[in-house]
Amino acid sequence: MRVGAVAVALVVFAAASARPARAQFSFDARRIGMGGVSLSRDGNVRRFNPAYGAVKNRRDVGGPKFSIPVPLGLIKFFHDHPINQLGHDSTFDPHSPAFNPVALLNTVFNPPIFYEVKAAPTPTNDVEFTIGRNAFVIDLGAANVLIPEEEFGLGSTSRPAGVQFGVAGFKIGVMGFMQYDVGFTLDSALRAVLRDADSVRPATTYSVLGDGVVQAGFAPTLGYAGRLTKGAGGDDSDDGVYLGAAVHWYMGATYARGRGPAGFTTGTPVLGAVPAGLLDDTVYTSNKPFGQGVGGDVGIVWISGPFEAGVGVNDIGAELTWKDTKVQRVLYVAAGDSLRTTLLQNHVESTTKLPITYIANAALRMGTGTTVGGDVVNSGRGTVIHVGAEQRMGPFALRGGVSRDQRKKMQFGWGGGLRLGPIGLDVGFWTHSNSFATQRGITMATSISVY
Amino acid sequence: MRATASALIVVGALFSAACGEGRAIFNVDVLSFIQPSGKDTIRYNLATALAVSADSFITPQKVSLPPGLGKSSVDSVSVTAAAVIENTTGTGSLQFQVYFAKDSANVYTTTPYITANGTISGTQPSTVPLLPPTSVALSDSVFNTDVLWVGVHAGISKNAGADLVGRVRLTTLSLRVVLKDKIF
Repeated sequence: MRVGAVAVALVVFAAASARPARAQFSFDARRIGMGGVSLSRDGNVRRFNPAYGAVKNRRDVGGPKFSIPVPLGLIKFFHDHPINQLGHDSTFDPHSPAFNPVALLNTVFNPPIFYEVKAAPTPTNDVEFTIGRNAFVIDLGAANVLIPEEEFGLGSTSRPAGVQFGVAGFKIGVMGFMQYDVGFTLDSALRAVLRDADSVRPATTYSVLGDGVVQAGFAPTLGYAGRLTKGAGGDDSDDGVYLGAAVHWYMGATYARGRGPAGFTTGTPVLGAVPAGLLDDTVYTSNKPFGQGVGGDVGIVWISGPFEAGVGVNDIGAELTWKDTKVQRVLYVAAGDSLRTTLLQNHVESTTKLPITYIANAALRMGTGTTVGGDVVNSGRGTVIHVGAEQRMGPFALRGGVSRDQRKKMQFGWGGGLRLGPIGLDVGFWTHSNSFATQRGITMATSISVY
Repeated sequence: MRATASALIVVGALFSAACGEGRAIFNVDVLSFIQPSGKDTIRYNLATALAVSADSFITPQKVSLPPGLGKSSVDSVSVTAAAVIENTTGTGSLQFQVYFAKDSANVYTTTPYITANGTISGTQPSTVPLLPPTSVALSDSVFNTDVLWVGVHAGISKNAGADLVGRVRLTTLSLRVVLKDKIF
């Protein structure tokens, strides 16, 4: 049973970690070797810029039809963690003396699909507790870097499925959408205790403010993507200005939102009095589906000879109105050590918003086998910047790039490739900070490209 | 106390556990738990001209430790103490001892963890510091608990002559408990 649970957990972890992973890299070693930028007309540019719906993804632009990842990291992972022994693996067994939750979280945030050339070190140090009748100090040592100074959490907006058809640039269809955002913020008092080894003080509240929302549904969509002007190359080239836009009628299936603090207030003295528990959250849930709203996407692409640039913005003005919402207060009650749920309002109207997401990209194909480019992407929780270049020399390719990730850290990518006719073998290295550590890890990605 | 400690120790324990081979170290200021009751001071008054001895024990005092300690094995414990004799009149000697136990009934039935001796002599009043060496115990099961009882004994011997009057006062009493395994 435990093996099953671990296997399920691995799948869940893989799914959960897809967001940060996707924000940083794809399964394409070419992109990884260029710091995450996509120099061809695929991936993020088509996802976020509706104008690319009218731009041909030509072969000479350099992109393969598709890439097949070679997951060398999984081979090592399952060598180190045999699947028939996962139930007794100290990595996943909290009761094992060697269990290390940070190492487990690092695995979640940095799934072992590709080979980890240099793993980010897990902090190892003593943790000291100083206890007195009116003092309580926690000194986490070097591990205090794990305490976030700002809000931390997860969030993403995705369009998991959709069908559309059209003619003459116009398209009609239905797309699914899902958005979630969960954030936690330590109040300054708790942060000082955990990060700065400040003493817990009497008659002081220590709390974590939680704020989470999840909503999902589908949206009938009407869109257009077309070539507004043609450049000097006429129809034989892609030169010109392309515009794209789509209007979505969002029909939310369900949503839930919760917000409030959780923590405690110390007594006087700190360790001589019973503290008061604190949980006072307001929870909104939809009683009925079909929260409705209208929003849209716009995008523009300009191509002139070797240069192209584009901007795409999604979910503009996407505010959903839920006609039938239940509002409840969840309160911790010390008497009885229980949670009390109180109905504050029922059958009332409430609104939610989808965050605006966007991409801005540019690429320059110099004609000497050199292509440089960059993009700025915000998929719902922070901006990621990628800048990269590729130099082709016959069947060989050299690549390099830099990026600024969602944690505002600089990351570096480099790699190369060998193309033999329709098949290419690519390898890319990239540094990452997807771990609970101050130092970067280095991943080696390998993939096969089919042109 | 327990809820506060639990809430914070859970957080700390997570990071302690996070730290691989790192240890969890608890520095407990035992004196701070004793001081509010006034039991950190033992007064003596041997009003006789004869040479006599007397013993004085404080009522065992309760010290609440983080609940995780009750589920852990202790790697080592260091007990550090200091006291001072503040003598008013008379001369003699004083033996100072600190006891720990898991329950109050057995505090003074065990071997003391700390013992120090001081001599009161010469012109009075005087102040005599008692600085016993730090006691280190390995794998001591007494501290494998979340409630600890502490006792202090003063054995007083009076020389013939003036009344022996004064007090002995704890100035430091702390524990350093080191755990190498999981707290939870």
